Amino acid sequence: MQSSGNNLIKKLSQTRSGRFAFFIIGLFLFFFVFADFIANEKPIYAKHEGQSYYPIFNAYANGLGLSQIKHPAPNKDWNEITFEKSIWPLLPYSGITIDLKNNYKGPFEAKVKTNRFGRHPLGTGQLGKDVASGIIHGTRVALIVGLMAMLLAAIIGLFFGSIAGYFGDQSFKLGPFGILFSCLSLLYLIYWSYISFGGNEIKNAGDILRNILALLGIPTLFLFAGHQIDGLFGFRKKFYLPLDLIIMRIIEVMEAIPGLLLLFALLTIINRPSMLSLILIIALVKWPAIAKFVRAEMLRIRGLLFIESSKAIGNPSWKSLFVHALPNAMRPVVITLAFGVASAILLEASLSFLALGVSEEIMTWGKLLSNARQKPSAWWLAVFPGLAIFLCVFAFNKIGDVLDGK
Amino acid sequence: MLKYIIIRILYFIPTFVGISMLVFFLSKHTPGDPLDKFVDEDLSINESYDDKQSRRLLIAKDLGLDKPVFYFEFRKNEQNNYPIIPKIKWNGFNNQYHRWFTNFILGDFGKSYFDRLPIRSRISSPLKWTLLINLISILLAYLISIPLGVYSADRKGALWEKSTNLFLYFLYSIPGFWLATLLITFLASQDFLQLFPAGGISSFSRDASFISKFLNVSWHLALPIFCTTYVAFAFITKQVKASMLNSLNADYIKTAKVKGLSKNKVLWKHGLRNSLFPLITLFSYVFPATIAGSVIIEIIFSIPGMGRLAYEGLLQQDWPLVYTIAMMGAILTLIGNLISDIIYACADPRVQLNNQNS
Repeated sequence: MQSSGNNLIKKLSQTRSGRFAFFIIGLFLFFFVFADFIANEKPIYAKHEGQSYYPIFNAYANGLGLSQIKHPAPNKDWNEITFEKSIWPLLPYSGITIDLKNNYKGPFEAKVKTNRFGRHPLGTGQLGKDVASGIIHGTRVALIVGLMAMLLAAIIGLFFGSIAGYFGDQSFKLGPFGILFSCLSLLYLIYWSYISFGGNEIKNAGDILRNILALLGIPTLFLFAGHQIDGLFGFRKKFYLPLDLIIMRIIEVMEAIPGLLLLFALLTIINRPSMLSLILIIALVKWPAIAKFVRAEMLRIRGLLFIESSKAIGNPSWKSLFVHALPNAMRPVVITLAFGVASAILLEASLSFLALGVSEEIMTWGKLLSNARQKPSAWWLAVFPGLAIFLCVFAFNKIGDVLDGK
Repeated sequence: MLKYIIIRILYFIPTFVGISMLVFFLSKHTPGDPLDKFVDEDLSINESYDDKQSRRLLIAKDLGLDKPVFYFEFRKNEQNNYPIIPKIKWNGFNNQYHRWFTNFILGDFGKSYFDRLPIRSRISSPLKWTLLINLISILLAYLISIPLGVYSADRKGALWEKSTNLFLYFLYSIPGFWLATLLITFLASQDFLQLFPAGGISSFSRDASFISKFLNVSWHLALPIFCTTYVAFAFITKQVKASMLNSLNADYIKTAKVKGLSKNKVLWKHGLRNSLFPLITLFSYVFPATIAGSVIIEIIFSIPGMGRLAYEGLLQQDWPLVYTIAMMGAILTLIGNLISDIIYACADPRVQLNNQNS
């Protein structure tokens, strides 16, 4: 893994566009980590009436439950207080900070200055929200949703794709109890979904997570139990379970509904999308693509000599699959993951562009860009947030291409 | 051939049933009671609780909501306290899913939550617009990208090829909704160039001539169609080029060259013909992708297509409308797959069902 990471950097730095992609990702990662210190409505350090304040660190500590919020004048904003000594972030806005006097001001227009407000290098949007700090804070949602959704999609896709490709239709053999238990597991899944929310609505993202875990766990448990019982009674394994057929049908069902329409249909069961539910939904839409790639790679690998030898020395099939075959199928997965992250970021941005994204008070690139629809003359709202989305998507696509060897 | 087509169609039935079950499953887990959307809260009538319940029951009966949900159901076993062991009950065909699915096939998509009118009346015109836009886009994409791909495959390594490569690469990464926003800002607003309308599909008077109507509609659709075309265009060009490069290395191309055929004939007749097959299968990928991409473009340019209708349905919490459009999208995708399969089988008779490892 270490060597492949080094390899990637070496390959990326060979071409000019590769270096550019590398720089872009590095920049966004920097924004991702240090967003609060580059653009924030609170100062990094402030001295007021002889007492020192570290509001940003204080907010972090409070978030972890370590300390109370300290504020020199609780009924005033940080911006309105005059300090004896203070260190401010580069931009004194946190993406959603309201600066009413500078509503929809372009980058080159004269702005109204109040205290520290009034410097907007990339202009402002609705209610004077600063575009530059919005872009900086927007990297958080974009990268978290993009990376986590693809991670989850990769886990689901790897699991289903590898068992579909490895076993195919004719090598997953079961004894009579195995078949019985696999049918039972299907029925039990339906029953499980009935007792978990029969008639009730899905309340939060935790419910969805529980569902996904059960979806994977229940069949595995039943199959394992059936296998053990067959072993106990010494039944011969003579029935085939057409895993490939079943999984490919499921993938076909998921892929038949065009992307955004499937997302709309999934969004109907969620009241207010949070970051976690967005991640789950995007992962649910994206896993079939990864599963297909893994399956194709597995079809190739399962005929290779080292898998044959792994079977010959008597390894159980799960060990040949997950220990020997799967690590060798990772290369195309990593390539699809890079493209997948780009498309997941794009999906998140389009959802928040349509006001269907994260409903919390977090600025996202899509929300910023959608401001341009309310005021078409504000060209800076159309250009800069979109440019951020484009650069991010471009960089991840480029990484995919480099890994692909093009 | 006919046998192949019939079997191919039969293959779609389990997929379609699967899609319908997925959509039905989602529809049963939406927040809120669907019955509430059809029962008026009329405060002026002094209605007793019992009267209201009986009115609800009548409406539920009318909508089929009093029926059991699925063919079979599991109940918690009331006798013992362990909810782990279910009690299975067979409901027969008189259930909600069966009713919804058969009605859907017969063209009755249920009633909208918003205006309580049949959804069918709202869906036919959007379907037309969406199909129009998507088919024009795909046609345009193929028409432009095939010559471009062939041309750049021929000129591999030249500056022209490299620059188009980079251009296509950028094009492929540009988000459609960003390009649409940029186009509206710079080409359709008063502050910059106002060359195109910012949205809508037409602005002609009723007694305008056919030609002026046609021109007016194409003037309105120019920007949206551009936005739905370019992604497919970049993608197909890349594939045409790869496929051409593959076939240009083949022996029969060398033979054709040695035979003394003109360069154009080698390229367009021998080269392109043999690299057309992968382009046919590409259609089954491009078609759903374009439909999915056109959803957001329709919303931005306010074109009354399916995507915009689904979005409005989602905002108005009109769930049946959203599900119907999702099903329609799935049907379109399946039909697109079917068409590309059939064309492929016509073009290449070697294709048989059992060779197809889809």
